Amino acid sequence: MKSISTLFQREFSGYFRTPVAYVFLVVFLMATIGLAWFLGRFFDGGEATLARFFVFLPWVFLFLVPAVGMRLWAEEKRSGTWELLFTLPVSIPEAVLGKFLAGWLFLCVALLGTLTMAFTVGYLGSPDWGVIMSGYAGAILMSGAYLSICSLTSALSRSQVISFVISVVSCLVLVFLGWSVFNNFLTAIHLPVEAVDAISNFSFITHFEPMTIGLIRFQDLAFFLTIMAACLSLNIIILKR
Amino acid sequence: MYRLNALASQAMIEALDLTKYYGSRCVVDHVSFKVSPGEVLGFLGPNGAGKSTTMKMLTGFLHPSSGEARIDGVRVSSDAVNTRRHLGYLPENGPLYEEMTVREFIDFIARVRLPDQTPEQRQSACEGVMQTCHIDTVANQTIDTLSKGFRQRVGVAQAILHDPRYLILDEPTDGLDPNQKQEVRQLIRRMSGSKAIILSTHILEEVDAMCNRVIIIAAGKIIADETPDALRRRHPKHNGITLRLASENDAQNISTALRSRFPAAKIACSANAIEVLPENHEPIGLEVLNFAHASQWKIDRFDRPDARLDEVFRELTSSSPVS
Repeated sequence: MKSISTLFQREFSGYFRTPVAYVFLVVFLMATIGLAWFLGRFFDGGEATLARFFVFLPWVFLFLVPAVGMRLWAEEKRSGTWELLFTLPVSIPEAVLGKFLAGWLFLCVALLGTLTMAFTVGYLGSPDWGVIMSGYAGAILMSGAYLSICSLTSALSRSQVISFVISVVSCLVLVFLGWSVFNNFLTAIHLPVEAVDAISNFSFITHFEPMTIGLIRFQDLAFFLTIMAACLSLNIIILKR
Repeated sequence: MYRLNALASQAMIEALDLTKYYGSRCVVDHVSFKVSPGEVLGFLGPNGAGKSTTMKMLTGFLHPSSGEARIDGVRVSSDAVNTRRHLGYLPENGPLYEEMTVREFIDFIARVRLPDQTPEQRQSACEGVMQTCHIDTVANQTIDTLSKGFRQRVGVAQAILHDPRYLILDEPTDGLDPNQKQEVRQLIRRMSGSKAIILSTHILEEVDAMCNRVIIIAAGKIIADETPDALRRRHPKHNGITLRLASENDAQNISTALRSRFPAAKIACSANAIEVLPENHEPIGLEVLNFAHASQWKIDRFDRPDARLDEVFRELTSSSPVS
């Protein structure tokens, strides 16, 4: 446990040792809030909710979480520091968990910055804070699932660019499967509704949307946690080889 | 008491039939050796001979295709985390976390290496090792701004921070200037009494300066495992003697006389020098001196032929070409 904590601290503070973290935070806030305001017409709905903010999160995460995750292992491999790391008395599961948790906390910090949206809604109206908290819980879980995929793909290559591209494509598939436009297309080509539902069950959107309206269901929690557990387990196996 | 003796007898780092394949290419081929505390083993070989791969298998970073590495009798692959606690390792090219300052990096290593010590004890260990490696003057500098020499010393510092019983150093003096090399050599010599040290190098003079045992590896196989002196005895000019003549006129006569007096020795004659190389490298100098004195030759001076270790190395490794 001490090793996980030490690696976690090194990795988390590592984000802030370079300008990358600050650039990421600024771009993340501009993208999430900008999309909600301008594309989602945040104020036109006249509702005290963050629904128009949450709806864009899976798409913003699609590009920005791989930007955080691509360095997790690819950079260690490129610079050779993984040889240093794995000759310290640290097990591979400890290293994977420590680095993953640091990246996840960094994403949570980024999400924390968007609370200004919640405060704005609270100032202008009387939102259901339970729904907002549920939405944020979903966003945190979803970011963890995205990051676990990126951590896995980052372990596959020593090139951050390749890792980024594989991450985006992998996550894109998992977003697309539940995108209403894609599901409508599947229905239009006469795929049975049960099959379309089964396919969309593998999507981030399908399991995130209920949480944005205040529904916390076991299957949604299980989906995100399973993705994380599976990807991190694969990550460990790849590094052990 | 018996158990203690048994443990003491196991206090060593062992390579047991280590073999490593990359695809179909065998880069380490059934390598076996043991190193005990007090030994400083120089690991020599041409580029691509399998030195670094062997070292990586000893640390547990690479899994052997067959065979096993052991530390204190425990298989590294079965308990990598615990066996590494007794091990300090400097990887080739000294990879470091560039964005950290030297102090932050050493502190990070201390927290991983010495988790059970108090923050004060860790702080003391960090300060001590930074002073030992002369990196305290750059403690607050980020590693990416350091010169190669300082970076290498930071790498050595992280390897010795926890005072390990076993040290594996992959080219520890690579990139250092002559003064820095001397410092690292002195540091290794100081530590050598209580530790088992394995170091790889291309520089043969370092073997003389630091090691009491040498392993030469070529094409993945051990081709020599002996002391530096024993290795030097393999040199064709070992125990030979060179006579520098006062004038060139007598060279032919003197070499003829030497051939008849030492028929088994190899006599080489140049303008005003005659080289006498004994058979089987037995000492011959004194006999030659006495013979020269009795024959009343006009000899300017006697020299020892240059029996360089790197020539032995070249001789041994050139017959084992690296693929």
